Amino acid sequence: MSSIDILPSPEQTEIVDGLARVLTANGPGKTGIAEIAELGYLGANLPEEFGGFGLTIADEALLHIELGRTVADLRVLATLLAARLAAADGNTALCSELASGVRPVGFAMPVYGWPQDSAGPCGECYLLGDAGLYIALSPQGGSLVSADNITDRQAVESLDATASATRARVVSADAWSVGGAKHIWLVATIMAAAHAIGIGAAALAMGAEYAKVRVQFDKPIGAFQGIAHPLAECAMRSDAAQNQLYYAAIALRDGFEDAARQVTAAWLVAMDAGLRNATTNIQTHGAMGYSAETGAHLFLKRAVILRQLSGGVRLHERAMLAV
Amino acid sequence: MRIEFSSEERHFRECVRDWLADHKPKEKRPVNGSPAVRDFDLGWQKAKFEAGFGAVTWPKDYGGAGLSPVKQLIWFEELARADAPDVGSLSPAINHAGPTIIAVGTEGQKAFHLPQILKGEVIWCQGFSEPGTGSDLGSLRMRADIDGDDLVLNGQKIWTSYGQFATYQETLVRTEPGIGKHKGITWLIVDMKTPGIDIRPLTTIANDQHFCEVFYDNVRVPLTNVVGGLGNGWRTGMVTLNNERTAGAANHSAELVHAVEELIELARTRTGPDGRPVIADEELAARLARQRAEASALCAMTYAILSKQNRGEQSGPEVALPYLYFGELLQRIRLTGMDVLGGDIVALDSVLEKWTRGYLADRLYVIAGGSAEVRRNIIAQTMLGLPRSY
Repeated sequence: MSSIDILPSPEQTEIVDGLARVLTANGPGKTGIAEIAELGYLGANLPEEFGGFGLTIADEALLHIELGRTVADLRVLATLLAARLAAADGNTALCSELASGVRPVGFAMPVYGWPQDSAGPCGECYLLGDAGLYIALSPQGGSLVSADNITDRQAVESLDATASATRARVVSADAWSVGGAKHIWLVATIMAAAHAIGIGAAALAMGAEYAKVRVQFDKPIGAFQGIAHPLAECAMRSDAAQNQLYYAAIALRDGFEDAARQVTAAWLVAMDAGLRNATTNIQTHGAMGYSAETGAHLFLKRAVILRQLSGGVRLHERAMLAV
Repeated sequence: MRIEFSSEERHFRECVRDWLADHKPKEKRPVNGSPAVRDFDLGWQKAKFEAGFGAVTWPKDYGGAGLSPVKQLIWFEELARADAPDVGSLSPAINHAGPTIIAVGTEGQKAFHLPQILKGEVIWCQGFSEPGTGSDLGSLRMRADIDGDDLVLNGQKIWTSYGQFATYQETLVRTEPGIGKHKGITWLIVDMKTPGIDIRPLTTIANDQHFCEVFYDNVRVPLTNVVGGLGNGWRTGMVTLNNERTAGAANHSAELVHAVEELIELARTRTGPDGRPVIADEELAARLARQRAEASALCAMTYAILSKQNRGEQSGPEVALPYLYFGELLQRIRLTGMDVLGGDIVALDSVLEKWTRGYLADRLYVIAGGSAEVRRNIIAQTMLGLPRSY
């Protein structure tokens, strides 16, 4: 029996629906990590013996689309990635702390990538989100950095609406770990891509809605091709990115030979959709979009953070040609 | 969420791969408009017909391969992988006229025309566009007046692909003017040898003669050549649009992936100005990387359409997206191709000719059958619910 069906099944849709309802009711940028923990989603990707739901890569990617759509607390992404590292290490105590939300994880993000000659993350970085534990990511793997091993902290004004930002220095950390059967870098790449797809979809929906109700020159502005066509392009970018993400998630989950290439492709098209749909939405809103009133800026800020957080464009472009 | 070909499908893929290795044309397809291209396309059609691949999208009852949508996808993936030619000038017959006759033609029309198409005996052309009728197809004006048992055609068609070689034309004519834009139109089979037809090939931007203008001066066509009923032409013309979408998307995405992979290989093997491979240029490499990712996304869009079809779900307005994505991505890839070629773009008769000619010829994918602008209008209206815009 042929089984070509890259789209989410009704069961998968059901898994994310509960979360999506809460996130939507809260609105963009309004859902904190504690609420996600209460809903039980924080350890959802942990195996059942570690107290999780045993969500697969593909299931989890669907969750991240919803989290991105409403610009949820950035630490949710970090904590879910950390849970995979902790589970791979067999660290059950940490797993249950992460799942319960008592130990939120933030990101430690380098300026241009971590030093390549080092066994783990070290040196200058930015910390994103208030946390006792930070996850550092590189193509070599992931590493959890305790707040005790971070010095020279200097708070800065944060670009991200949900996460504080601190300039700091990592003085010591565990060596890079690939995090089990699925390389944590590829997992982080696809989950960041999923977030960006949520961003792109939400920005498109917001822009299209505004184009129907905003009237200028006696017409809804959506009747002008200068507005309608860029929105049509957003729809095209979103559809392309979303389907590529589905394909890549299956490839990574089921260990396809070309999984790394599929994941990288998903990242490139997803970041493009996230960023460009966010700017199109701002442009559609005109001065309203330029003001912080509408919340259109949240999508743009999260999109650029996500791009940098998961390696930056050049790194993924090079990876796309490496295989 | 699953991608798993059955053992039967994997076996089919092997069969297609083996057959293509042995039977795909050894020589390159001649340039459009040359008489040789007619023989080439018909010869390739005959070879496919003899192997049971005459029309992969047609049902078995009408001599088609009756392939499942997944097997159609496999067919097109293998065709592209083998760099085998597509249907070329057989496209109007295989992809449109044939399926239309299958859907609404009489038994007599089916029995007479379908075997000729399958066996590679005839080329069809399409007479839809007119000088005043491009994107706005409903504005077509060519008259066909009933006179006894015939319709008498007067007027002009244009952009008629392969018109100079065609035996038959699927023609939209106005049989009852003045009753509304999409009413009073009739879908007609016209024998291109009928007296009063004058065909003049037009040269395209790619220096070939892909299409023609066709003039009709009191051309008599028997009423028995009407397909789908007098005055139902608009509906008849649209009837096949949906069932060709999966095959079309599969065909285009497979070919596009193949083109990007070839281009990356070309950029790796050609030497740039600094003695390094062309691909060492960072900007060019970045573009190739993106285009490879986007080609992958186009395939995923095709798999998504197929997924819906496998579930038995009706396709929504999002089916309009892949073709526009394909057409616009193709333009970017073609431009990258020009940069990879460097000065070799000048020689239109070199072995690299397909990149330069392709750069020019493939512009048709953002113009023909609904321009990119019209497609954006449709997406904005049907998918996003925006007001109609012009």
